[in-house]
Amino acid sequence: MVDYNNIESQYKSHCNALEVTPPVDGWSRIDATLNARRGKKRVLWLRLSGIAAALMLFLTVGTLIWLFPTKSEKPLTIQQTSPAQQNQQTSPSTASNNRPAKSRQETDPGDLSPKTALSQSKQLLSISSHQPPNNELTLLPNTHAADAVPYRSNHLSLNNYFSTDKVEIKKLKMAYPALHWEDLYKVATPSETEEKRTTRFGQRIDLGGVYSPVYAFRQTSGPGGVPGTMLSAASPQENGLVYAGGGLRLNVMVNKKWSIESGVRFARLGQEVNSQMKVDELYAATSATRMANGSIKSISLSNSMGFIRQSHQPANTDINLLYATNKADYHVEFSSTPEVYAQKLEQNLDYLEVPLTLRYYLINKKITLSLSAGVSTNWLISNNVYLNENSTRRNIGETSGLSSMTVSSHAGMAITLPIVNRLSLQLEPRLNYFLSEINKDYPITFQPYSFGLYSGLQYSFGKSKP
Amino acid sequence: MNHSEPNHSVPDIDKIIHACQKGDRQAQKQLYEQFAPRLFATCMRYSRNRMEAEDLLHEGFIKIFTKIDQYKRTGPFEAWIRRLMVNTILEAFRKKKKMNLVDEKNLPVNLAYEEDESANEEMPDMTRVMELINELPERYRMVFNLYVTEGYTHEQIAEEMEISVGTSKSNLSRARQWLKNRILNRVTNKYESLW
Repeated sequence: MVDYNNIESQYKSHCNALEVTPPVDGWSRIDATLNARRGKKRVLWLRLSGIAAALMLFLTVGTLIWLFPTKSEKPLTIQQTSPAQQNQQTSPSTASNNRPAKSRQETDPGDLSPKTALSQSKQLLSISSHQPPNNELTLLPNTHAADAVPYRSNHLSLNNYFSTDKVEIKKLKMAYPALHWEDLYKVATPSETEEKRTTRFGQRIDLGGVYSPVYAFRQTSGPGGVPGTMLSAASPQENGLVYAGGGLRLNVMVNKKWSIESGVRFARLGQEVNSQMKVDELYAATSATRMANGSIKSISLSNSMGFIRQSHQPANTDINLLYATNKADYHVEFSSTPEVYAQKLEQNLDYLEVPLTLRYYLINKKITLSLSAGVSTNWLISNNVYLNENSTRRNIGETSGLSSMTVSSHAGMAITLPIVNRLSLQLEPRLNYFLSEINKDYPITFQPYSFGLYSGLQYSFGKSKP
Repeated sequence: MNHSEPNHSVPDIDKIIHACQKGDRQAQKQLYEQFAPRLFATCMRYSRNRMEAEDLLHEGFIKIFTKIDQYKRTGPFEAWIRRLMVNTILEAFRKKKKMNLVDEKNLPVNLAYEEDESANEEMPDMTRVMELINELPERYRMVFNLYVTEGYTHEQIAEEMEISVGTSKSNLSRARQWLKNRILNRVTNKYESLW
């Protein structure tokens, strides 16, 4: 009698040693899946790099702003009206009552620097809370009162460290409500001054042309294999190409450090596809004589960008010639051994690009150095496929199913060099990357990118550079 | 199906693993060629048909190549990849179960057949045993294989298959009894009529 437990142990060892021939296409399926995953990883890496770069840019800009605050450059200007104006506004008798009495301290005009003027004001302010107004405030002598006395906040005493210029002025106004401050003094607060400066920078506009030779290629991801490839044994090899573009740019300064840029640009992107052309020979002959031949040429119309739609059916001129005379006498035969030649397809996509760029100036003097980043809306205006065969280039159609509008991002670093007066030369290495795929209905995700040098002349209007 | 001794003579398996951990495609192919036949046999054992086994093999190898950098060389590599493959099979089973695609047929409760005097005295052919096991309903076959060939405990089986420990024990017991009767020729050609 057979022991069942023995069967189980035999079954186990049998299973452990058992081998079954795996499917023939097992490895190719795995290879395709791994390729697709690698593509997805690359896209993820590029996106993460973009986010990291944006964060780095943000942190760098933030640090620069924090390290070099613009507060010290905000002057408080205290202007005294002219004696004539004072006389018009206030008679001497009333002035003696209403205006604060001149301090008995005689100030040496030579000492009346902006700093001393300020410190006097501060001292007066500090005692204002417990002495009657009439004896407290000193007017700056007309002879030494500058039209605009720059006031720097870092001259504040520690007691007033947390106060602001605006608050200090308000305190003065509250302490002496009877005075006609607006009539006596022209006080410009820091915010007003800043506004003026902002307006001044905002007046500078750069208008220029851009010429941009770029190297363009693409990022692909998605399931492996190109659908519908005719010559599966010879998978097409795709390469990037160098293209030229250009356009106009308009740059408006927002303040000393930032500007917004836009414009319009023609951009050509695409790829070169190296694959094979299959040529089937076609013979026509009578029973006695073999006549001249024709041929049918086949190329793969699918690649990572999409399926190529021919604008017109290929003209079978050779075949027509074969049949030109006395068709009945001929018979036609295909050769069974087609020849294969290398051929190149060029898929060009022309876009009209409207960028919106934010530019931060690291240096904004006669020579400027700036970082830029932004997004662009791209409208597809032309889509052509060219076949390069035996040094002839002909248009065979277009890539089908492409989106008419796509969004791309860009980032770069620009340097501007002065030429004459307001004319300058700008050079900017820039990277463009399409955020959305250009062929949504196609199983392969195709996202073009380009890297190039954007150069051009620009003319600055309005306020010139500081 | 063909039997062969484990190919322990391959000298460069460590190098292949190291290259695979770096993402070398050629090394991945070598690894596939070396281990696919045995792993495919494992997949076949748990699958209803060859197509399902091919899908499991594909998924399993993708998992192996994705996780190969986690292999710390603390045990035999073959045991590690086999464990990954069985995990893939179990994942697929759980997915099928959620989608109600698992064959939930039950074996008949009463499998107590009379002793057959003409019972087989010879050790049965293993191919015949495998054929019989493949005839088991999916859930029974799964429990049986996990317990007998992979060495899982009932607790582990219960956790992986999302069933109770009692169900696991019961399934194994019934599968064994049915198999025993079939193998020892106590029941002949009656199985189909019992469904």
